[in-house]
Amino acid sequence: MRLIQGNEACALGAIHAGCTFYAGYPITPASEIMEHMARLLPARHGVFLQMEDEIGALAAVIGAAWGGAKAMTATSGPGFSLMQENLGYAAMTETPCVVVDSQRMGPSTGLPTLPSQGDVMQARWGSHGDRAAVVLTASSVRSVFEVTVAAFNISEEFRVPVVLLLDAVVSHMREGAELPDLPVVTRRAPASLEGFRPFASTEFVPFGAGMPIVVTGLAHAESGLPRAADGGNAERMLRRSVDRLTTAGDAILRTREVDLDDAEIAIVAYGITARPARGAVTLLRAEGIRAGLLELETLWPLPERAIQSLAGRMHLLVVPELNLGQLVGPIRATVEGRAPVVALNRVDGSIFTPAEIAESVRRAAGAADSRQAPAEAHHA
Amino acid sequence: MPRMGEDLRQYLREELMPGVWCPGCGHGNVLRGLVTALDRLHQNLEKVVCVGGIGCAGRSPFYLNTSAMHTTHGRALAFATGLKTSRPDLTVLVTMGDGDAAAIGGNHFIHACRRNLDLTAIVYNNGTYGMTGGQQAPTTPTGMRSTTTPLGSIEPPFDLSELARAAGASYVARTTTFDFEDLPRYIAEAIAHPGFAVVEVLSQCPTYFGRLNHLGDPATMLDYERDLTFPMEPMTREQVAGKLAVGRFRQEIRPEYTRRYAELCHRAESAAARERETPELGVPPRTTALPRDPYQVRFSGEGGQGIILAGVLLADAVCAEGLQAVHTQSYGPEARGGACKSEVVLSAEAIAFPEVDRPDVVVCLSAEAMRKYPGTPGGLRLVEEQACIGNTPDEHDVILPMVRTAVDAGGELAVNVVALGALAGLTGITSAEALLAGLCRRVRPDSLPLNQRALEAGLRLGARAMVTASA
Repeated sequence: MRLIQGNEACALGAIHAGCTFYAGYPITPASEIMEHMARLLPARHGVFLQMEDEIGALAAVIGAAWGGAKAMTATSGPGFSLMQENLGYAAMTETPCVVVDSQRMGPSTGLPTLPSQGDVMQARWGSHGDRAAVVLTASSVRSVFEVTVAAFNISEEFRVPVVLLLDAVVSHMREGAELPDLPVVTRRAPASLEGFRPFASTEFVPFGAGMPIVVTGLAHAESGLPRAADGGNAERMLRRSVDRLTTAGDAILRTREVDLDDAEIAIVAYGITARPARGAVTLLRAEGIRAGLLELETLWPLPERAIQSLAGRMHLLVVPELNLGQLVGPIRATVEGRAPVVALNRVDGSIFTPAEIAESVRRAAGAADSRQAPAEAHHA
Repeated sequence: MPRMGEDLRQYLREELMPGVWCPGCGHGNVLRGLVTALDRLHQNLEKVVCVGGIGCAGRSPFYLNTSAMHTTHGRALAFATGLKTSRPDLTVLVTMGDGDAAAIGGNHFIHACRRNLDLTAIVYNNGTYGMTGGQQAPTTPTGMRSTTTPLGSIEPPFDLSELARAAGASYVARTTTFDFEDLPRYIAEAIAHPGFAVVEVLSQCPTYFGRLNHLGDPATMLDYERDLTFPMEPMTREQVAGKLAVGRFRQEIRPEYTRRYAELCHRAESAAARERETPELGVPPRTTALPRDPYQVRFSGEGGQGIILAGVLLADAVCAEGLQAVHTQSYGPEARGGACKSEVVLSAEAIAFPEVDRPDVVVCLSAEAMRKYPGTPGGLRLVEEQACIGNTPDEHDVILPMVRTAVDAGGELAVNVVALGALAGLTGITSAEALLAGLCRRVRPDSLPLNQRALEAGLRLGARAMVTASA
């Protein structure tokens, strides 16, 4: 076992997944990912580039992806905001690539060295227009490694940009970890170039590989040629790329369960918040309260079936988040009233403690027992 | 102008024609110059990618029968930078309008010039935003009208070639759609040039720039371009007042980015091989349990005192002995100065909550840290002697001359390692061997002797303090 930092595990995961291209721009708390890639890539004849800004960083990543590279960038909130336009371009052009956003407290420059989970909705909807989106997150150094590999694998298999949401604590945290030898997926090439249409499926042909490829952010035909006035074609292409993800199921939807088998109360948490949530489960169980944890490693598409099945069995769901309540809304919509869903929110740059989450579960359980409408619990 | 022959039509994607360009637009002349250049160079089209931005000029990639990347507004050069660095075998052409290159993409433009990556940037400069309806561009000459400067522009325009030259482009040429012989010649030179090449082409927009400024039909606009410019060599200062020079401004061989990068890779490979050969010190397996489980340690002080490294070294050592360890850190926006803490949780079991909420040991290296981080009742607090000036220590504080010890060991910089040694000497939570192995992994070889002396001195300091405390 070796002591590894979260950001280092992210870089190591990328290298394990076959990443050969990194472009970025320095920003706390993501910079160590860039520094590790600057050391790791040249020695493996991969490309490392420090760009002039985050807009250029993601543009370079997409350019490299169409050169055939597995490519990534990493940033934090302010840079992630700048990347939104090209993130939409990557979605429109079905470009496999990975964007890491290590979240810090915003808005704006905010609390640059303190954690947050404030970019959950930006990761899903930050770019204009509807689009296919995959957003993953992680709560430990080992899971940062695993989820980074998963991010590349999903992006390669489904030809979609994948966002990995870390946060200042997970990024900077160091833990002893053994890194597993995970399987690696690489984009599929067509059996033949004869009659190949580059946007008909997830099969991929890069530039300079035997046929001219046309890539555009305009609505386009399966050939790649622009078709900017054909709304029917645009809708069909968009729905196809979105449906590709919603039917993918377990290949994309990653969850972890702790003590849910006999539980009556479930905490639904993700990222760093899953750590104190796990601690809260231990505290509550010691008091005889049957609590469990559903940790979401995939936020988008939301693992609806896992949440629905939980809602049918639980008396209460508690959703702690380091934001003013971003994922709790879609979770409530998924639960459809089958169980009360209580939000617990904190936006002061600190993470929850196990005791805080446990206390909020106790209070919410009391309220649910006395048949009162569940109150919103806010961090004092 | 001679008709375009069959031999040049093979370079065009005619299924997308007629395209978006208006009748009389100069961009067709530029495209003609581009395909003529490709033809003269006998370019293998399979290895050519044309990258365009957004706007009229940005559409050029669609009309070339090569691979095409039609990107986002202003970003074409950044996309091309990623593509070319990952695929040096490709010939990458970048077509941009003046708004694309000089306004929204200005930052990418100057940095591409500076980087000297082997790209060919062709800027179609018609002095206006054509696609959106003739608004002012950063290249609109002062006094000229646009739909956003109905009374004439009051801003000075960019001289793009001058900008490219100042920013470091190794090939820079400017020509016009009037100069139909220079146009393919400069583009061909630019493509053949091994470095970042810029060709700025003054192009006519009869639909907006021409109409709004009463410049007449497209052919008359070509005369306007001729009269607006002068060839660099034969003219006198008086003749050129208020005009733009055309010609080849720079053609220099400078170190090209992908070649420099390939050399860097070889150096990185050798460095990695040397790193792999460096033997790691062995760490004896742990024989004692932690005094408490989980065991929580907080190092606190000022940014720059090595507080974070002290925590990392402790976590590293205990981890190497086979226990679980989590290290977290907290510091202000500045990397130096300001309050800073570094926390370690140690356990034989998996650690759920990563932060310290009830420290078993607090180490304070600054007066501010001493005020901010009290010890836990029944816990231990190690305090730097100098931090007590003006502060009242708690009854059970262990006050040690850690700064003085570091200075004696060779430098105050090593106070973090003295503190770590003192902590280990006093509590026995990890071994000297495990700490030394971590130091060898994480500290630069040239500062290792100092840190090693500091560790030994710290361990002695801690051991003496333990004897005193026990007595």
